[in-house]
Amino acid sequence: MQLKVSFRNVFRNKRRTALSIGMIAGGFSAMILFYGFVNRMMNELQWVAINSQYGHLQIASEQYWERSGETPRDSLVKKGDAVMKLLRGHPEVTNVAGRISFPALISSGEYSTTAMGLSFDVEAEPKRVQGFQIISGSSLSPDKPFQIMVGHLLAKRLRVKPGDTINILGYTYDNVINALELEISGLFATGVNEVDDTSFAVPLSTAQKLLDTDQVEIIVVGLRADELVDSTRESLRRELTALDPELKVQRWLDLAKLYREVLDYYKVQNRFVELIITSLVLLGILNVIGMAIYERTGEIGTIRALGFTRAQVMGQFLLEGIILGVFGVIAGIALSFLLTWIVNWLKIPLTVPGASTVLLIRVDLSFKAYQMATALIVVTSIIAAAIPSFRASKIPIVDALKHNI
Amino acid sequence: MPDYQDALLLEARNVSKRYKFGELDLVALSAIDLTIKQGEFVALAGPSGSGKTTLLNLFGGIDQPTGGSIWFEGTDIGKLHEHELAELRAAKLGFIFQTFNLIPVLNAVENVEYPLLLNGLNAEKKRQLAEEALAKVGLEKFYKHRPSQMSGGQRQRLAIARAMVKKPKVVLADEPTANLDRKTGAEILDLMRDLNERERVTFVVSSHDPSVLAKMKRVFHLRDGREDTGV
Repeated sequence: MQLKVSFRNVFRNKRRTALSIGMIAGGFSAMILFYGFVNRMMNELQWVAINSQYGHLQIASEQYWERSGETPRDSLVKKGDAVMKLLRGHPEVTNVAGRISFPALISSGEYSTTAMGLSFDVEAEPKRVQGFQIISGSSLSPDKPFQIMVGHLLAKRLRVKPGDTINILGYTYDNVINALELEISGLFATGVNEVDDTSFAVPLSTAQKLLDTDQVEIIVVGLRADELVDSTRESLRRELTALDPELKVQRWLDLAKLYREVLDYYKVQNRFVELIITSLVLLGILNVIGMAIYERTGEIGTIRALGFTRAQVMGQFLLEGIILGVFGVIAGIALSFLLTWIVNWLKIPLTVPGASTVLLIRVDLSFKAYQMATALIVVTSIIAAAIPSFRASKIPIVDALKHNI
Repeated sequence: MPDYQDALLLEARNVSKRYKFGELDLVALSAIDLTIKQGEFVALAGPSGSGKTTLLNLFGGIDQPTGGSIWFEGTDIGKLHEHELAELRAAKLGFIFQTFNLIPVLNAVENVEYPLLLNGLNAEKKRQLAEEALAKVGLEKFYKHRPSQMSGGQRQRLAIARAMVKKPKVVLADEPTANLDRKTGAEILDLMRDLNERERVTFVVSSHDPSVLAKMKRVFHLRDGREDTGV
């Protein structure tokens, strides 16, 4: 009965109720869209971080992680073959590959500059190859070891293009100068100008030839699923310690500083957006319930005279606030689906400061976002209804009865 | 033989009520002594501003006297907590208002059921009692009508049914016929008197209408907040 009364009261003034439900739905869907946008960005960043940058886990010597080796050779994985064999036998591991990075002088003949060489196993890390967006030419190929990909901004400085030959000059781990002549397969863009201006990539075997080693600095490990990172890390840590106590296993999240910074940034931004939206919803509902209570002051007096307590009167208005909130959320869910579809369909470009590639604004809906937004909106509705209903419940009965019903 | 039972139901002992409007001290009631016994059909009579409604509100526990005390069945209701007063109103008091004060979003039978929410009956029993109360006031064909679909007389009958449904000890009616035409007002008063006689429910009715007062069994006159003894 109480629910019936509250329900009918909510829809007593249809236009006003539609306005407040629309306001709640708008706030709710704005929150969902924002969460969905952030979710999409973080998913993309996570995908890039895992597949194109760090793998799920990375294994290297303590000297490498802490940059504490006396010579560059100290940073290499000493029992690389045995470690790789152990990793390939692990049930959760799908991918194992070595990497080396090294400084080098890169020269087109006419122009030269220092740059950072990135090398990886082209065959074992195909997604790493995909992580370099090729804007001209083609990516590295396992059957063409003497090729090189150059960051597009670095290529611009060197005045080179795909098909040109280029020389790289570096020191071996024995401190001997060595050089290689390589053909440019393509120019890449990582999305970060600093990287595109100072980096080139070669196959791991090419780097090992230049550096005169058959060892690697890092072993990158891919897993069956992102969720297995922590458990696999623990089991690998135990097994690897037996093999080489100097080896340390790092998670992608520990290495992906940018990802963590962006995540922290969005967390703060999320709270700010939540604050703005809930404030708007709060003010909207306060206004609507406040008007309803003013209009129904006589009715409040009547039900108090019938024997209803202050708490029961408040309860009725709270129930009305909850009903408004629930209907607002239902409408908001529908609206969020529609707006998500529109945003994803529009393919709106987004240029991130410092990035060399244009992203598309997309929204990834998530159940967690709906849970969060629903909880926030319903709680806001209850608070918004509680404030005026508390005031209304305190009006003396005789004063309330003076208002015409 | 008196036409009411001897049990004392309501009592005002030296009751006064003052309102402060800034510097102005307005006396609404002064030194009122009145006893009402179980089953009485009594009017509080007097011109506008004489204190009828104020006294009725004090009897109903929805307002507090500034002096003296109001007693209901031997209890000083001024000493009751707010929730105890609410329980008293819910169980033993019925109210009828000049402007009917029905809940507009509920239909007739739901309006009558509404006060029964407080006494813990199941839905079926509540509906049965509400239908019986509506039948007693002649609204058996209007169960599903909303107040806005009813005439003034029907609305006041509905308000009487709502007041009577919980079988109260006393019904307090504030100018119940003031918003009705003479014929309908007379019908409403006849209905209340009939219920008083058949159900033995005490009625305290405020009115300044001589035609209403003529139908009352006892009239307590007020003037300027005091008992008007005609002297």
